[in-house]
Amino acid sequence: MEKIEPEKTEAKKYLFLYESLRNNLFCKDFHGLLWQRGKPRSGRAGYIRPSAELTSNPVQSRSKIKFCRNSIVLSRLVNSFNILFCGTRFSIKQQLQRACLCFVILGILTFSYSMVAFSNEQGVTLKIKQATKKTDKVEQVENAIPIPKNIVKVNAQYQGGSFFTEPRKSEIKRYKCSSCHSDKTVHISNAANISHADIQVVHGGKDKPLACNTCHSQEDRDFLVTSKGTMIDFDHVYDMCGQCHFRQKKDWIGGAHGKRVTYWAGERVVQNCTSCHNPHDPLFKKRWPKTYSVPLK
Amino acid sequence: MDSDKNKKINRREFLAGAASAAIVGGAAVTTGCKGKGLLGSSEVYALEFQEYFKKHYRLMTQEERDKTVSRLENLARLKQRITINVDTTGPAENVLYGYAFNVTRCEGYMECVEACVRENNLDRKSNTQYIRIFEMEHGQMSPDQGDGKYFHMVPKSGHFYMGVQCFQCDNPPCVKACPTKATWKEPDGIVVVDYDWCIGCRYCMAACPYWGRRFNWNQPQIPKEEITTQQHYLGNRQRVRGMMEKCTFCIQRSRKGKLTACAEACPTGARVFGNLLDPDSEIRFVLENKKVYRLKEDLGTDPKFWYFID
Ligand code: SF4
Ligand code: SF4
Repeated sequence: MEKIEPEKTEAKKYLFLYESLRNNLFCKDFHGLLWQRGKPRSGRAGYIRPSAELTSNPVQSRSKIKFCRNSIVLSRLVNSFNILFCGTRFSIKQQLQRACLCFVILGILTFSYSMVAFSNEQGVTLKIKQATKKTDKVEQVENAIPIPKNIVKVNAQYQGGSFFTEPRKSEIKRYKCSSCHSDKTVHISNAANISHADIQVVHGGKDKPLACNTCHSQEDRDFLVTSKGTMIDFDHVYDMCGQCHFRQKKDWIGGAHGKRVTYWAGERVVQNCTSCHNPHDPLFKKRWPKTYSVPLK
Repeated sequence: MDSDKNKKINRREFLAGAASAAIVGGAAVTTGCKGKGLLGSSEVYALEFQEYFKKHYRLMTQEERDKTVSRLENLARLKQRITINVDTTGPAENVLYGYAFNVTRCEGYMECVEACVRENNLDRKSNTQYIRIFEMEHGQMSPDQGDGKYFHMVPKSGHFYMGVQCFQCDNPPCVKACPTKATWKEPDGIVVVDYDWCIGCRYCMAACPYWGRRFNWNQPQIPKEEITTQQHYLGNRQRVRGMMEKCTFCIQRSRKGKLTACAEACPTGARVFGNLLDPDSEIRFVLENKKVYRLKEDLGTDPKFWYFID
């Protein structure tokens, strides 16, 4: 590049400004060496692609490109600062000084940007992260929250300690089962009414349909029995379901499956498996929606 | 500045007092000729007039709040012949409400929509609903592509359902848009509207990227026997035409420790509601153990409503 004296006329000064801007934008020096100007695509003026020589040896060229790109960036930065400050060229020493200054400023900018970016991450995410202190279950809201009478304590601990669930036995109309399933004789005329012929088991799939005795104990009709032979009270039916549906049970204990009863605050009382699912036919049925929506606009 | 404010308020109160006195006085004169029927309505006019000159909810003292509540209750008694209970329970300390929605579990039954309409005294005439359930094909991500007005047997195979309502953004654009500061975020994270301060400009509606707000184009109509009488000043108390309204996480319920109406009504347990600041809560378990995502998170609105997959 030809040397430009600072005391040349104004017009020349602007010409130089224009020239060095152009140099900055397209980096003529490097283009000559390593890059060819590609055919400009429509709407993309400065499109450039690596020359054939470069693309032939990918490993070497990649590092070359990297080096080249870095130097381009550096030279652009230095040059833009030159232009910004007075529009004339500086000695190497001055250029270096400017470059250092430039990096300091760049550093500050990056730092402050990352601070902003970090502070953007605040909001709820940060609030949640910071809230690690256990809250008092009873004091969460001013209102006194009644604990339902008919609940049972679950034989498992959730993240906040013990919790309760809805009982099952009180829901079974003819519990205790042993009142019929015993040595007692039943009059034959009642047989149709008290048999369980109305129960259809749609549980376990086609390959492994469940039988009554898969869950119900044959020894003691008032209990369920796991495949390992553990007797399970009807109220703690979640232990029974959890044998196969262990993932759901884990979620239920934590709170991602199932739901709480009426209150989000206070003692944790959740619905039992059987509160929502019919154990003999647990899948939710196809049905009409409760209501409909009109178009918004 | 301060004295200026006082002056204004004094003038306002004076006007309110003077005018209501004039109306009561005037009514007393007219009752002489027109019989007893008007006396009741003059009370209504007086109450309505005082209501008209009340302050912004956030500027009211507790005493003033109690007064307006009793006026509202009286008005409901006189005009609609129902007994309502408007409460002004404030936010509890160390509580930040959050919501999670299980897209795998939701079957599209729309029980939540119905429960919400009933709980929040929504207009039955225009079929206003805070919640919208979108039926989406597997693989779709945004409710823009879903069908929000399905009506057939659900669940439809190959589809999943996604409930959308106001997400109670932590950085709510609707609040910034409001020229009268009629809408704001409460300390427990619920974005509320002071219905009496809203001028109905609908700027907030335009600012909300989630279509979370509903406008009363007509006077809301609710069958008398279906009105929820347990109301909150910032929640489900009755609105009139020209007011903006929105989901408030059932402020009248949640501030008393109850689940929102939608969460309670959901038959599949797809809706999880709770305190984000309680490390033991269900919602925190979901956030820590499930794959969660929020809608249009890149907008920086910071919604407190997460979707999750089982
Ligand atoms: S979802 Fe819409 S209405 Fe609700 S807080 Fe966010 S911006 Fe406001
Ligand atoms: S419609 Fe009401 S709440 Fe919404 S921006 Fe206008 S005044 Fe504010």
